[in-house]
Amino acid sequence: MAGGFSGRILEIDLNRQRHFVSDTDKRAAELYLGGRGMGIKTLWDRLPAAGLDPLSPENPLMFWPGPLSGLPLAGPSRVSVVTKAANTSPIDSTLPNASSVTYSSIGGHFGPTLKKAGYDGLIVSGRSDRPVVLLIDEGKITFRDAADLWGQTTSTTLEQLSHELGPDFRLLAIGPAGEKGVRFAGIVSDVRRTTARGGSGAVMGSKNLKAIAVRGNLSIPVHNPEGLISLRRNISALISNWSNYTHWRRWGATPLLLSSDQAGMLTTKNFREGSWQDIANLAIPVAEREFWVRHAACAHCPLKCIKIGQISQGPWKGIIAEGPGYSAGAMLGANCGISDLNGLMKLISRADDLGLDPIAAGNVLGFVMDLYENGVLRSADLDGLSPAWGHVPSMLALLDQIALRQGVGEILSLGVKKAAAAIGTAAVPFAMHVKGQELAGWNVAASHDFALVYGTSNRGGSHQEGASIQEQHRRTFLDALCICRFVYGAAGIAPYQRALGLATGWESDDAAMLAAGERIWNLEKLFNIREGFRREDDNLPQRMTSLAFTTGPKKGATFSAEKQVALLDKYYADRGWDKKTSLPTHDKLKSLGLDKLAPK
Amino acid sequence: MKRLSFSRRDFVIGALVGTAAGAGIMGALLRKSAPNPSGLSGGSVFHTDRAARITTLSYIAVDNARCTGCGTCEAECSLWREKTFDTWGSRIRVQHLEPSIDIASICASCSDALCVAACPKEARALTRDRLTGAILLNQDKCIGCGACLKVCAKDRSDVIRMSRDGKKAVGICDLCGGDPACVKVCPEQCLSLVPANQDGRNLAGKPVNIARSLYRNIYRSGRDD
Repeated sequence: MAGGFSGRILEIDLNRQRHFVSDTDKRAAELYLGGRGMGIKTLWDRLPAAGLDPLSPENPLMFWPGPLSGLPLAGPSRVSVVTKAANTSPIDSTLPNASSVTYSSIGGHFGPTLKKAGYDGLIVSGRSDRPVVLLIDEGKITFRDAADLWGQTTSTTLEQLSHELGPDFRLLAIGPAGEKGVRFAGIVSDVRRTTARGGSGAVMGSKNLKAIAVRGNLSIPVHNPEGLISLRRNISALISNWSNYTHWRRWGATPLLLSSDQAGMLTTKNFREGSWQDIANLAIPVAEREFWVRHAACAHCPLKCIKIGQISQGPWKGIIAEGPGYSAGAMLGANCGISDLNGLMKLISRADDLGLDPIAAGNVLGFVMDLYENGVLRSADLDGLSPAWGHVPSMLALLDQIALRQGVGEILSLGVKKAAAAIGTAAVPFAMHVKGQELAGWNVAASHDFALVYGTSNRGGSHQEGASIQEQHRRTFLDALCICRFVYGAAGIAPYQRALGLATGWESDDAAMLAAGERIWNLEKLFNIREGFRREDDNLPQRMTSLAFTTGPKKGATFSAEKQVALLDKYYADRGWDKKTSLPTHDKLKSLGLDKLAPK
Repeated sequence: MKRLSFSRRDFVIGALVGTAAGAGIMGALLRKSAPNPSGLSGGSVFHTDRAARITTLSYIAVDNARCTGCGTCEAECSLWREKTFDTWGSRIRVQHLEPSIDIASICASCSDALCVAACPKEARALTRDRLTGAILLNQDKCIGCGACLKVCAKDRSDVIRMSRDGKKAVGICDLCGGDPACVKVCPEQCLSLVPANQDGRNLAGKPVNIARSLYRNIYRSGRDD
């Protein structure tokens, strides 16, 4: 096996609570690297047909570090969680359980530690007959009964496990939402990062797996250690010379709330507006002055974006939470009409505790409040709640009901697409999603790029993928190496391309890097095509192409349906995909070595 | 309420290893950027002439209130001292506790050095460096009995562990001979080499105990550990 890989993949069969170690496929690693790439490759290989219920035992829940994970470099601190998504669905499919791939990644220490425990990947399949915690202590794999933790919040679970196992273990856990199969439940880490998009928490809950703890200190063999050590210094220097270095270390992603508001890219009141009058109350300097108590960092990274705070006054005094990061601040804040930081942080803390995707949770709450304002839902439909914009207590009650799937929470736990269908046609225009994935915290009317990002992302309405084909391939390559987007912003992509060469000994150039990204992207697309996703699934919700902003710096901004058609037409043509269906052409697949996989 | 930058009083209360009090003295004692005239020392850029760097008993003070848990120090120690990416033998260890707090543990150079006292007579693998005050471990003499590890774990910082093969003790910081690699790379400057103006034994503590003191200091809005 090439350097950078341990050559071993840990497979867990929860049906029998057994584990075994398989070899990393050398050829697959060359083509798909790791992270999101190895994720889709393995998912494709293991799911031979479309329409598998994502919450069935057969759906593999996979945790993939990359070939640079665990090496002492700033950047590769993430882990990709790849599985068949629990929340997406095509418009037109005969298969009731058709859904897309999802690849949600989080920073922190779990990925590097999993790699240092000696594994290139962790694949969990089956379903345990009782709740368990998976303990990985390098070669020693054990299952801890989780009867006492089942039903507990993520912070209680993480604290309990941390006290029990000691400070060397790094942890992931699901909350009540994941246990109950809420379609947008995530997995929460010990640095309060959530694998948010795609419902990986529900998949984990369906397996009766409450938490995963990993410890490892093994050395990862690399092709050229001296080169890597010297590159380590170069990357440090690049990051510390980044023009944004000091600001980023001090404030993390929080100031983006202010700049996004100015640019009309914020999501306000269920995406109706692009700016929010009270945004200054939710961002810096208020967060820094009133809330933050410490900074934490992902493995080997000096940027310390993890901002941990504690509510210092009011009814929620003493609550510890992380943020507001941009996405959670925009979605649980502006999108729900929140005006004060303590309310926002209580919401974020509750969403984290319940194990919900904060982006989707904010989207769903905005959807409910919009319906309530427009009279589609009344208090009687909402178990007596009156969720006016910004009313934190009713939002907290709704989050609890969603997580426990009680009352109106039962249908809301399906996500906005299916909830709107269940509520009735009057609710459908208010559901802000693409492919059933709730849209994230960037609005479209003043920044049309995001129409392409949301529309063409292979996991539905995600904001992470990049607005040009080349950028999409670059970011896919970075996702396969588990490199953080912020470090990418600071140091660029070149050092990591070089690091891959030094670690593995593979020769590669820009073209090869972009080809790897394109191969992964197209395989994901093939997976989605097989499930029944077509061009019409790439469209934004209709309301986004019909309403103009009515306030703020970008008042009057619109995004038209014609512009969307033009953007997508050009996109498919440039990708070598069929314009009508969005299917990749045979020639394109052949050039990527994927032609044998094309659907008939 | 501003709670991120700690006053000197907070800093001391925080049960930190070392204090900021020595900061002024430190500047006077440590000659800055002394070039290495010999240019030798095993190819490492760090192992400069120790006499030029350190003139009194010293230890590495850790401001745990600022530690972000990035682990850069841990990796640097393993890279430069053990020549490996394997952080098992690192002489500084960063550990995460809940509610979120990160603690960097390192040998506190206790004056009574329980580990040295515990080292069996037939081995005498542990000695104290008379110039820097650091505890030195002679790997060749170590018989791997684990006596030092037990006393450190019981009453002090719990930094010593057995090597992967179980044959030697690892994890005792020798201050890189006077110019510690970890101190230079910490992006938060939580580590500093300071004169031993307090007995390290008073500052040594298991991560969980240091964290307990820090919780009260960091999370002070109505939550106990």
